[in-house]
Amino acid sequence: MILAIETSCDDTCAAVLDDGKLLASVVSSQDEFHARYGGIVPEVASRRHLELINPVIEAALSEAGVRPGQIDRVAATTGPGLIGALMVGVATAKAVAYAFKADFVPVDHLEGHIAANYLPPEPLEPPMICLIASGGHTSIVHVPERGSFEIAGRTLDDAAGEALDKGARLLGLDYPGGAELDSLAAAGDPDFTAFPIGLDRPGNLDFSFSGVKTALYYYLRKAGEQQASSRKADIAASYQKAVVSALIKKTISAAVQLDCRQICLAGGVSANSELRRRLKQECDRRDLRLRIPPPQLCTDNAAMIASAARFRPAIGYPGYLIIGARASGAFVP
Amino acid sequence: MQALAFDTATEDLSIALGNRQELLGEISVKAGRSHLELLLPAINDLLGNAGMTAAGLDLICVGTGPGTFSGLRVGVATARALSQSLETPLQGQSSLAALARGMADFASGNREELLLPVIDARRGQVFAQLYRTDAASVLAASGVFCEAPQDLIGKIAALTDRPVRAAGNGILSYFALFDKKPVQPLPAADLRHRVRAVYYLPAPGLKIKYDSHDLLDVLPAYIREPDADKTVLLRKKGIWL
Ligand SMILES: [Zn+2]
Repeated sequence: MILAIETSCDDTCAAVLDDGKLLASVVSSQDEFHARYGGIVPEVASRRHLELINPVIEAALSEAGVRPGQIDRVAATTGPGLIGALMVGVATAKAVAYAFKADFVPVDHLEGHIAANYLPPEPLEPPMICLIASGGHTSIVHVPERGSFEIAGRTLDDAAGEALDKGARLLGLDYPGGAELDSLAAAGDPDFTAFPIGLDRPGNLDFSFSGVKTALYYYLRKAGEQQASSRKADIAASYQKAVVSALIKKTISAAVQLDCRQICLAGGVSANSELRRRLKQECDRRDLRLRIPPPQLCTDNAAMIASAARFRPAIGYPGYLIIGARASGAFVP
Repeated sequence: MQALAFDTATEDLSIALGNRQELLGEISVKAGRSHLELLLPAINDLLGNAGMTAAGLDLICVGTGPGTFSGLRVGVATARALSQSLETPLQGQSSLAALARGMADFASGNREELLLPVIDARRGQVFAQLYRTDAASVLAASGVFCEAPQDLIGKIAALTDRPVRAAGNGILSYFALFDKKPVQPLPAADLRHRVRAVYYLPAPGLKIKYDSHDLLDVLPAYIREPDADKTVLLRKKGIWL
């Protein structure tokens, strides 16, 4: 029985997983606290995590209907993420493991996103290419088997979700505006104007979203207020198209290069309707299998951390006592 | 009654086990910024040396600062998780009060002197609070200050003309500035500049019951608001682009 904790960004999460069966997954979003700052303030996130983590754990344990004595593994995201936020989750998880006399499993956040695909209702079996796109990260990873992965491409600047949120903001939508941008774009013409796709060269699997964002900024400045507001839906659709096209092109290209027939999505951006629709088309055309987990498993959650912990060696007492958190860098199991 | 107490408000990690009459053990570690890596191993050592386990504790006491935010969060998160998992009562206590208790000389009968524990707040500021002593304890005589050292001295001088004895890592960081009337810092080598967890230990007879709601109130005393301008993630580059 695994109790998992995830606090790498602005959601406080705990989940209980029993041998692949998800018994509880609790997510306490902090969106309302950060919205007034127009972005995530790391210090605010850390403070909220500390307030919320114990009630969230309590809710997960009681929803799962397990007694503390039944937990034999405690897992936590140890990175990458906001360091202060991670520290709250790791300190809590280690102390819970110590109190319950359970083993501890440090989990990489990206591996968590990948492992969301091993959960019910339709567990997926690698090999696969996974596109992980959220407000905090954008990577294409190759997963040859459960418990291992290689990064094939990553963003060199902004994350895809960050690019969508910032574009939304330039168009006058409130933070976090990615979802609103998506619905605004649905009514617009994606070919109204062309925004650039970063690092658009054959074989290049990395992303860059700073160019498209800057292009939108100067486009709006040049267009003037009236044009910008009368063609807002068209501009939103064109902007979104550029971001989404980069994700699709490079994901398909990774599948071709690495000769992989399955593609799966992870991260909050997988909720984007344009991405889902067009990626499905592209996969069908090439006879690739596409898997998109349910939305609650795509955004940050602890169920995916528990799922990853199933396929990682646990660290027993007293070895785990000294484990820390890391903001970035390579994963050392 | 056996209590575990720890403080992570400063770069010195301090842990104590026992009660006010019988100290079973005490560990102090130069932790720097590595509280997360060092706290639980030290707790484990202390309990192990005393032949105890965490499940045998009657009370957990944690220093709630003020002090460095991430250090405090490691201490408070660890304390809350231990308390919740073991259903052991939890108490949060001021790190400034612990410093003051260490400085107080209850035997001397010098009730004239005031105590000023000072903790480094970084960014050129310190946290501090005035305390007076009675026969057995220290009592807060002001609110908590968060000031630049010079401003703090001015405020203290305006409040009182009684002698003020000062200690803490905030004094050590700005020693020359603080050596000025009415403030009299303890000598730099004095061990009482450190927050010691022994000053959180309860009286041997104390009885507190565990309450899952009470533990939610145990949070760091941040004093300073989050600095939103500098840290908004979405504004980290350029014109906010
Ligand atoms: Zn994520």
